[in-house]
Amino acid sequence: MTRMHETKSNRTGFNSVFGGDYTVFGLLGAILAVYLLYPFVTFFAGAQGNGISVADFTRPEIISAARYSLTTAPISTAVATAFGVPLAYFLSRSEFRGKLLVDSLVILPLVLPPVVGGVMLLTGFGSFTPVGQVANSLGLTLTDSYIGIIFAQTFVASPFVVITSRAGFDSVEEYERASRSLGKGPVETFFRVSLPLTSGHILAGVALTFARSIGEFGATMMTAYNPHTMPTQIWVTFISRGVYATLPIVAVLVTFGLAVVVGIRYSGKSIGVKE
Amino acid sequence: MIRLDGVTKTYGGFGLDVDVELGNEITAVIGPSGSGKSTLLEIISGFETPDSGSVFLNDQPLDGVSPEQRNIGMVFQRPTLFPHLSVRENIEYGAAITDDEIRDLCKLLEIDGLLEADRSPETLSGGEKRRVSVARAIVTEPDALLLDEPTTGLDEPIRRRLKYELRRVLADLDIPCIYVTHDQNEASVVADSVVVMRDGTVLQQGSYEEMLESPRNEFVADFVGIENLIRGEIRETESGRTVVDTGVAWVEPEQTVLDDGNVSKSDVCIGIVPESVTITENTRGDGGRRTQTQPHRSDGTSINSIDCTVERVISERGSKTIFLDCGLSETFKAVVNSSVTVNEGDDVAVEFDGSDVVVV
Repeated sequence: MTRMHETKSNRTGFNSVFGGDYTVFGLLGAILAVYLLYPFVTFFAGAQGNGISVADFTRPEIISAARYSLTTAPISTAVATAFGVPLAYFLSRSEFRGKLLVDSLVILPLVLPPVVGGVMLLTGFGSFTPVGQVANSLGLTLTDSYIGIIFAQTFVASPFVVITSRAGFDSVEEYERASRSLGKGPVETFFRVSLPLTSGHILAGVALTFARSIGEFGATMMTAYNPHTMPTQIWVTFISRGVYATLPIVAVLVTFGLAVVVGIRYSGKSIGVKE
Repeated sequence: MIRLDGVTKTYGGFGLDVDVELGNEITAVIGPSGSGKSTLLEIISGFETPDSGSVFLNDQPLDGVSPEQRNIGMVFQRPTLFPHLSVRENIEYGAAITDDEIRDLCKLLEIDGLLEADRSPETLSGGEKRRVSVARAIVTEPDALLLDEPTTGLDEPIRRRLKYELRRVLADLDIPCIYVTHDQNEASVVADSVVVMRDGTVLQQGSYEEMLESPRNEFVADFVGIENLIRGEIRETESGRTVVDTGVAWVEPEQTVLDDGNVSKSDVCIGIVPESVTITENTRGDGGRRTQTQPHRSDGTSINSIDCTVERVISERGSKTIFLDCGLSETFKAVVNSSVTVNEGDDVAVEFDGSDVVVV
């Protein structure tokens, strides 16, 4: 009895550090968590004593930036979803030469500094490029315009919806086979099985794409400094009026970000297929 | 009837090469992992295209026919019930079916209670999921049914019961049912005939009994449960009888050891099913007790009896599995009634009848 008790005590002691209550991991993780939280606290606490009023939230440039961001980000997200989901499905189901290249290309905008993406977009769609000139002749301006913002946001944010959707499609291939063995063709199978089962993944991708689009700055600075989106307006306000003057836009963006993260966490319960 | 005519498929160092015909019965395809069982099903179902050769269903070639047009039902290793649909919607997915028909089918598979209240597949037990997936496949009235290890991952009691039920349901279908399994016992219970595969080829095809009586090689013998495989030399006794000298005993199979007139054959492998032997107490001072029907030679070499020492005894429900050191290169295995009393370290004699010895 005593021996049993000792053994149990030893095991509990061991577990308390390395497995049982994960103390060591918790402590290490807490350092990062505090580091992530600290700037939010200092920013919002500091802003309180710097004369930011409710009127600042309704300044014309703030309203204008919010309007541009809130009208471009949904369009960028829709474009990324409309073309990204089919691409994800194609990559998940097909084998072809150069697939690795396409796979890498999809991820590339995530690892490149956004400003690099902006530079490349300028060389492809700038006013003096062939594509830009054709667009100009049709009365469209592809840079420093509403379209330019959408180009930048789509370039930087679309990988999110492609990657998450693809992970979803990868996980339901066997269900598709079951459907096809039951006499349903690929298109019917896609809409009756693949799409409903991956809706959680796709929605998570859409939410991330939207969040990334609305917060896009680096590429947008290069392709469409004007008109200002919210992130661009933060930069302009910071340069002209100091860090705390950015509070109204920062608050709006942080609220959006939080809503997306909480939304994904909540819908995360339905992501993935359990047997 | 399904026929695979010169079907080959190669990828990643694996090669499948089969010529096989499967009739309107339940055929178990058995073999170790990587033997090509699942690839065979993928090719028949149309999810994989063979490099060469053709698959025929009822004499119609299936070249270029997509999986959904083949009318071949499939029960996957995982039940793959659509989690966003109810049990009833899953069963009805492949074909429109009346309330009476669905009820009769579910009664047959003992899942009629699952149709109520829009039960979600996620609320079902493992065995129930398998039954629903079988029902879903049968509803489409397929021309053939493929089952890829449908009892894998189930608890033993559920698995035991399900295999008998599957036998009953599949036997009534009167279509080719191909049942992939790695369990020879399951194959013997469920199937009318067996195909043994290894390294992408069919080693032997026939009824389970045929394979037990005349396995084509040691691999087939081992896979169908003839676990005691002993190599020996063919000799002639003083009395003119042909026996196999295993080094520790002479074995005289009832079956001829010199088939096809190959008299020059000197090495041979014989097989003895663990369940066919009896264990007797070794009362002889220098060896085992001889029975009257199994005479031994004057030099003491036994015939159809081997002196052994018990290495290990494992008691199971209604039987004991005994591992014996008989001086052979491999441990000899015997399965006897649980009433037989043996202990580790006992000197015993293993006896068997010549009719229970197969020449591999």
